[in-house]
Amino acid sequence: MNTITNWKSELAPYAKMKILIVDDEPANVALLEDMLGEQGYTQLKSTTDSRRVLELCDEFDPDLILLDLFMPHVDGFAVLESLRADQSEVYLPIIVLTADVNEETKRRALHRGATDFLNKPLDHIEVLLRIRNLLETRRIHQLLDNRRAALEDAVHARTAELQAVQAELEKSRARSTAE
Amino acid sequence: MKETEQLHGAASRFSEMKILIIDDELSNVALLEDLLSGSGYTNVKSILDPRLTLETCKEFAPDVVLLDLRMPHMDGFAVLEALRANDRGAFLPVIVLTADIDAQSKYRALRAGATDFLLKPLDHLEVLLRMGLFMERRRIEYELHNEKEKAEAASAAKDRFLAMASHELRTPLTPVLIWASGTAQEPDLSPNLQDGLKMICRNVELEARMIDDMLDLTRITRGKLGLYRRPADAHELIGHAIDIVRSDIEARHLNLRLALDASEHKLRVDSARLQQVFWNLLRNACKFTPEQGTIAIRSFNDGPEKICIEISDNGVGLEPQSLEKIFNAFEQVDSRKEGLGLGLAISKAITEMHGGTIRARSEGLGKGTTFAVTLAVENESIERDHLTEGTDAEKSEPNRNES
Ligand SMILES: Nc1ncnc2c1ncn2[C@@H]1O[C@H](COP(=O)(O)OP(=O)(O)O)[C@@H](O)[C@H]1O
Ligand SMILES: [Mg+2]
Repeated sequence: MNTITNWKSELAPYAKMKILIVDDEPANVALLEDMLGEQGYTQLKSTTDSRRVLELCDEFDPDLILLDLFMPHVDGFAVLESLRADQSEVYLPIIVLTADVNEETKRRALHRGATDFLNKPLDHIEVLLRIRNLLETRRIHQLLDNRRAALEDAVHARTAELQAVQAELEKSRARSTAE
Repeated sequence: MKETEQLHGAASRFSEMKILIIDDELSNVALLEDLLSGSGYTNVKSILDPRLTLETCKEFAPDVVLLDLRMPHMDGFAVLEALRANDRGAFLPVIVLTADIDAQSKYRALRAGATDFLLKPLDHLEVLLRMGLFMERRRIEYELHNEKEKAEAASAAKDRFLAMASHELRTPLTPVLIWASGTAQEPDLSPNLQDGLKMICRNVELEARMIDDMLDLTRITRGKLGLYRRPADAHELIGHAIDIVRSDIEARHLNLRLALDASEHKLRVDSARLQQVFWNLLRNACKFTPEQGTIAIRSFNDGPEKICIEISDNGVGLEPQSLEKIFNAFEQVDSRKEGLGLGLAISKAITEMHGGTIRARSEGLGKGTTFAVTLAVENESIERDHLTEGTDAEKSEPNRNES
């Protein structure tokens, strides 16, 4: 446990990132919430009803989703498909939780847009690492996005500056001919 | 099979990325090499002796390391520690390959700096998946880096261009001004010619001032505006600034009221630069106040160590939302008036470089404006302490003329 505490400072940049947990088994949800809470994550939301995922995504705007595969009503595969149908998100990592290590299952999940896996029973350290790695990737994606937007703004600003100079030169030219 | 295609597709996009395998068992290495090269990763290197790790990393500069934990001579933990001690801030993903899954070794590997784990016997799909994820991360890190460089290059290019252009524009004006102002003094010129020459002088001076401001601004943004700090007198500097705008004040029939009440008014500043600040504020006060208006200048001590100089007018005034914005470069409330909108940006930079502050306040449109500059006064004891610094400032003076 001590090790986890030592890790808190390393996780600090991600502590405010939002994680959505989707698992029909309340015990699993509680376990994950405990693990993540202990690791320093402060923005967690969970549901045991997979039908609410889209609505929760809109509301909560998660940075990462932990998704169980086998659930009643709407299973993980269908959730993946509907989440990936929305293309507006830059890079939203989805980690699929699975007790079934069957390769075919993994392929199906990947095919529908899973980013990575975590095998059940969940291993503390694997949970910690895999989440941190994907949150970091998302963070860089966002930085890159912001940079690009900022660069565009800068180009606009620079154009405006040059136009201001030009306009000013025009004005002084007009003034000198008027005098 | 589409999923495998996806994984292969990922590999082909990143095939130039370099993978280093560190494992003492030849069969493991062969298996991994086959798997990776079969999936399009062409840049794979392996070492069987972990003691060669640092040397190989230096030469090969891998993007990802696959590291076995159990090796003779030097185990995976030691390799990890050596790698982490070696990488200076740059992120190198190290994926630990391990057959033993006991929590203790996992904690150890985590502490030593493992980025992720792959369990032996290796699940091929998972190896390729994990590779793809780290390659993707590598790729965007690289793009982010490029983007930063692009932005920096772009703004450096802009500054260089402005500096150069301003220089080129400024130089030809000097002889014109000298000749025109000299000739305008000639006694037997026709009034027509004299007016013409005066008009030339006025416009050339205006042009020169705008170019000087642009030069100053580029110096400031490039951090090349050097200060030459010497003992000076705040009231004298104000007097000099008034002298420069006096003809404007008279031409516009403005009243000037002075109340320089500060008893402590010794400064240690770059006189020319600070005078420029007061002159900018006075120029604005003249410009934004209708004829017959009033400009008031007062000074007072805000405590024994601070002097505050306020320049007020009863002119057009400012709305609350403009009070801060006007200090941004090129910011003007009404751009029909003459000027580029640089004076206040430059004044703010100069004041702050002196450790001072500059603020605007106004009761609203039509209610006049007050600009307050606050600076530290220099009393005797501090002055003595600074004597040695003065020589430093002299040495750095050449900096000043650089653009
Ligand atoms: N004394 C003042 N009264 C009202 N507005 C002012 C005053 N001084 C500055 N401003 C506003 O701040 C803007 C920026 O001033 P400045 O940076 O000196 O640029 P410029 O004088 O070239 O416009 C002005 O365009 C004007 O809108
Ligand atoms: Mg001005």
